[in-house]
Formats: sequence, C-alpha cells, structure tokens
Amino acid sequence: MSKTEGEDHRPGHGPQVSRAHLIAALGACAIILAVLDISVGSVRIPPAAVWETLIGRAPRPEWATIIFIFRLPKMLTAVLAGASLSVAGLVLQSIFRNPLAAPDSLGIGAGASIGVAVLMFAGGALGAVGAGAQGIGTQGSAILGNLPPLGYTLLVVAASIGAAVVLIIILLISRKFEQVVTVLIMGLLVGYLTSSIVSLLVYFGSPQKVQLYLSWTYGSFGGVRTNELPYLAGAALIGLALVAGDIKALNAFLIGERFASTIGIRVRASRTRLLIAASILAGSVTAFCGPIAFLGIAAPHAACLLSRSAEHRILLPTTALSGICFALLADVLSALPGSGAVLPINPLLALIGSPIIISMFFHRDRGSLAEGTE
Amino acid sequence: MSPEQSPRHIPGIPDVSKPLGNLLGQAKGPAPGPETGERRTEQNQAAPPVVLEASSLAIGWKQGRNLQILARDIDFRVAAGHLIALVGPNGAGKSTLLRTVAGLQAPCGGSLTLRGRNVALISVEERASLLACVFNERIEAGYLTVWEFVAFGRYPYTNAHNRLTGEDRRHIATALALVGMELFGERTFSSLSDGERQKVQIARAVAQNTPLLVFDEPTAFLDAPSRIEIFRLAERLVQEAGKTVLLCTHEVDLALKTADELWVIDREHRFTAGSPFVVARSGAIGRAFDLPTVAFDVMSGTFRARGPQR
Repeated sequence: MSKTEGEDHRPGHGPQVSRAHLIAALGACAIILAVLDISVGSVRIPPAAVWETLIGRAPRPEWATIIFIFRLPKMLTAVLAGASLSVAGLVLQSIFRNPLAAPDSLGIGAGASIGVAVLMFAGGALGAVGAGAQGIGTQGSAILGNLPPLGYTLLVVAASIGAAVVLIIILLISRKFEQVVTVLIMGLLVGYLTSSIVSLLVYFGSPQKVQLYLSWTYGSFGGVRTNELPYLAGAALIGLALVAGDIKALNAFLIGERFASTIGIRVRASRTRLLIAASILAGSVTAFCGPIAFLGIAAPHAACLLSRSAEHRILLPTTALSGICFALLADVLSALPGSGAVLPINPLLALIGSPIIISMFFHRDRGSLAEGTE
Repeated sequence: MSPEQSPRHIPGIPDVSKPLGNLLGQAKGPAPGPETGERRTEQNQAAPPVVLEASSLAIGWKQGRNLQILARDIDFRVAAGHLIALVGPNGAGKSTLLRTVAGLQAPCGGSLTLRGRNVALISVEERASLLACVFNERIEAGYLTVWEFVAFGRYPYTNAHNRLTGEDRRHIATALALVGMELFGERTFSSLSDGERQKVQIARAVAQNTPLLVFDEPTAFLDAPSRIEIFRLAERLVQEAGKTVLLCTHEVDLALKTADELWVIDREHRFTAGSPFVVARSGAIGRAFDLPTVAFDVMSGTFRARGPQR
C-alpha cells in the first residue's frame, strides 16, 4: 500500500459534501415516493392533484376524503414504520457488532407475535369483548380490516404487551451478563421460545383463527387510523431521540464494549438506553403494522453501502431515509394492482428489497458509489 | 545455567539514586544513556509525581460471590515519565493486572490509586482523561477511517453530538504525526497492515491526552522490525511527550533494553518489580519463564535451550 492517497480507499472518508448530497437525494426520493404512495390505489389520483389536495385546494372533494382519511395516514404509517424499524436494526447491528442482528434477533417481533397469537387463539372470550368494544379495524386496511372478532386496538395492546415482556426479559439478561454476544444468543433463544409457543397455538387453532393470525403476519401499513397515528409517531420520536443522544456510544460500540469504556462511555447505561430505544421503535411498529422483519435488517446495510461510513451521525439519517424509501416503495407496489386488491407488505418488501441490496453489494465491489441508489 | 537465587521479593520502588552500573550489557540500568540521564537528573531535582501506586493489591475475578484471586501482594509505585514493561508467562496475570489498572476490573483487595485517588472510585468519564489503553483485540471497523479512529481519543472531551473543535483536530493531527501516520488519515482502518494498525491505535491513545498510557501486548502479531518500532515509539512517548507508559509484552529482551522499570509476574503469580538490570540479576525472569528445556541467560538477556553445549 502506498503512503499517498490511492484511488480505491478514498470512499472511506468521502467529502462531507457528497454525504450531504446523498442525504438530500434520499430525502427527495422519499418525498416522490410519498406523493406516489398517496396517488396510487383503487382510485388513482394524479400526483398533481395529490399536491393540490394536501395544500388545501382539492380538485375534487371525494379525493380529499380518500386522501385525508385513508391514504395520508397510510403513507405516514409507512414513513414512521420505515424510519423506526430501520433505525432499530441499525442500533442492534451496531451494539451487537453483528450484521445479522435485527429487531427479530432480540425476540421483539416474536414477543409481539405471541401477544397477538395468545389473543387470537387462547383469548376467545377476550376476542368477543374486543369485537363489541372496538368494532372492526380500519376500512383502509384490506388485511387487518377483515379481522372479524378482534378489535384492532386490542390487537395493538396485545402485541405491545408481548413485545414489552420480551424486552424486559432481554434487559434483565443484559444487566446480568457482561458479554454482548451472550445477550444476543439469549435474545435468539427467547425468540425461539416465543415462536415455538406461537406455532403450538397455531397448530391447535381452528382454521379460521390460523387464517386471521397469518393475515396479521403479512404486515400492513393501512391499519393505523388518524387518531392512532400520534401514538406511533410519539413512540418513533422517543426512540429516535434516545438513539440520537447516544451517537458516540454507537460509534464506539462498533469497535467494542471494552474499547468504549476506556474512552469514557458508560457501557451498560448506554446499552440499556439503546436497547430500550430499539424495542420501543420495533415493538410499536410491530404492534400497529405486524411483524415487518425485512426493514430492520436491510435498511442499515443499504445505508452503510450508500454512505460508506461508520459514523452514526451520517448512518442514522441515511438509514432512516433508506428505511422510509423501502417502506414507501413496498406500499406503492402493494397498491399497484389497482381495483381494490392490495398485496401484502412483507413478501413485497423482501421481493423488491433483497435484489436491490444484493446489487448494491456488487456495486460496492466495483467501487462505484452512485449506481446503487435506485 | 540459570542463577538459582532465593525467590526474594524485590521492592517495587526503583531506586534511581543508587549507582548500579551496567553489568548486564544490554539491560537498561539507570545510569547510562544521554537522554535518560538528563531526564533523571531533572527528576532528581524535583521528584516526579507518582502517577500510579499499589499496595498489597490483589487481582482476579469475582465469580458470583466468590473471589478468584490470581495474584496478591502486588506493590508498586510508578513515577511520571517512566516506561514500565510487564512480563510473565501466559496465564500469570499480566492482562488481569493491566485491566485492573485500567479500571475495567475491580481489585480483589489492597489499594490501587491513580494520581492519589482510588481507581475504583474514579468515574468512567474522568478515568478516560487520566489513562488511555490499547488492548490487543481484532478491530473490524468497516468504512471507519484512520482519522475517525484516532478521533475516538477525543470522545472524553467532545459534546454529545461528537463535534470536533479545532483543538480536538490539533490533538488528532499531532498524535498521527507522532506515530508517523499523518499521511494515512484518509485511509480506512481495515486497509492497514497489523503494524500500521498498532501505530494508529497508539495514536488514538495519545490523542486522548492522558498522563498514563496502558498497552496490552502492543507487539503481538507484528514482525520483528515493527516490534522494535513499537518499543521505540513507546520510548519516545516517554521521552518526547512526557507520558508514563505501562505495557505488557512477551518481548523480554526488548523490554530489558527499553524499559525504565521491569515488572515480572511468574507462574506462581508472584510479582517482582525493579530496574531491568536488578530484576534480571535477581533471577526473577528465569523463575518466571524457565522451562526444563529453556532457560533465561542473564548475560545475553535472551532465552536459550538447555542441554549439552555444542
């Protein structure tokens, strides 16, 4: 290796301008996709009309109804879910120093699933109460909206409790054990434990209930109503603020925990805060939208490949924006068939996301930065 | 071959006033050497402050409620501006002692003070401004650049958003220049050779601007010239930057030549400290390392196979 600046290692410390450009480009991408997301659906609304409606000059009043009651909340849910899940994934990948760590590997998704499964399979009486109290979920959601005996709110509560219980177990484990790998293994085991309980419940469940449960596992951004959005947004803001406050710890954790503690990071306190943040981010989205695993694992890789940085001040916004773009893109494609049919989010995300990220890895090895964007 | 002397404990405090001469040839005695001699005269005029002090220190782990003590009765006093090398066979407790000094592991007994204060009671943040460590671990840093890595040394001083001030940048640049890596700032850390990585790690510790530096086997995995380079660098940190350096190493011969003071932990976990010359003469190195087939030769300062002489 020569001592001078060669051409192949320059990206490691790319000029700040190009990273600002990257963030701006991702932001623009997200805005275009957001408008597109509102525009497509069973009723096509031209993007220009979407814009006019949003600024209060709706060309047609029925479009305003569609946009403000169904599509805008759905778009905002996709944005919040994209940002929350991807940042949760980034946090977990960094603190566990493991590129395969994701909200799922801590059993958070499994915890939410067990909450929902218990509610659906074991809680027949509860389900009836839920139906009476809450009615049926949003009309905008093709999947969750069709859950007959279950209140959507009850579903969210069950998923939140499930995720929270797993989170508390993981936090107790992480207080007890110094080694972060141990925490990761314990998280995986708790995940297996919960998913085995879920699969037992599914095994003994009636076919209709299994159908219902499976439809929840497909994921959807359409179930969140306008009056529920503040909860999701609040959880996302709290989680993101916690993460933003521990940027230095995240950078140092990437090297190692012992290293972090020698440069003045309170390792356990930071790790606990970050685990809580990741759980709030992932748990809230899973509760409202179903288990959307892909974003948490894929978006951080996309952000890392795009920004070529290990500095979380850059990785955090890039990851959140990548996650938002992936979520919106999947939501746009899910509505593409038109005529009211909606494709499930989870398979779509992996279907479009995996090839994009695989191709980014190929581009990285060719040393080109720009091509990976779209 | 090896001098079979009584396993007497050598007092931990180096007596710099005593004229010892350099009988060992290579081992660093207190008298000769123009730079070191000058430094020592200064120190004799105004006694250098004690950076690190231990009395009856016991090191080990806590396993549940049980204390697993590895070594006890450790006494030392480290004056500012010294290079201390810690040697001993594998498993003797070198790394445990370094981790205890670094505050990463609680002492199991006795007292350990850093600048007169109990190490266990110094906060994580403040400790990071008093001592910097380089531990021997594999670092996988992806896209992290050398500059960004050295900037970790400024973490104890930067705000929550990790914004570097002009002073921070100056410290980083100076540290990189000190280890001769100033042209490597833009490179990614993962593209460096092992020797370059070690120098960058040391630069990171220097950027932390602490009076005490602790290096855990800084020469492991390095080729022979790089090992000498690292020891020379440690020496310069003491002489030019006025640091106190504590390092543990398997390079007994380099440690004898370079260090101001040698610490030995032997297989029975007994701790011995003194000037390299005195420690080598006392037979402590032989006691620590000798095997039925290999023995430390005091005169040459190296290890030799025992057996019929050819």
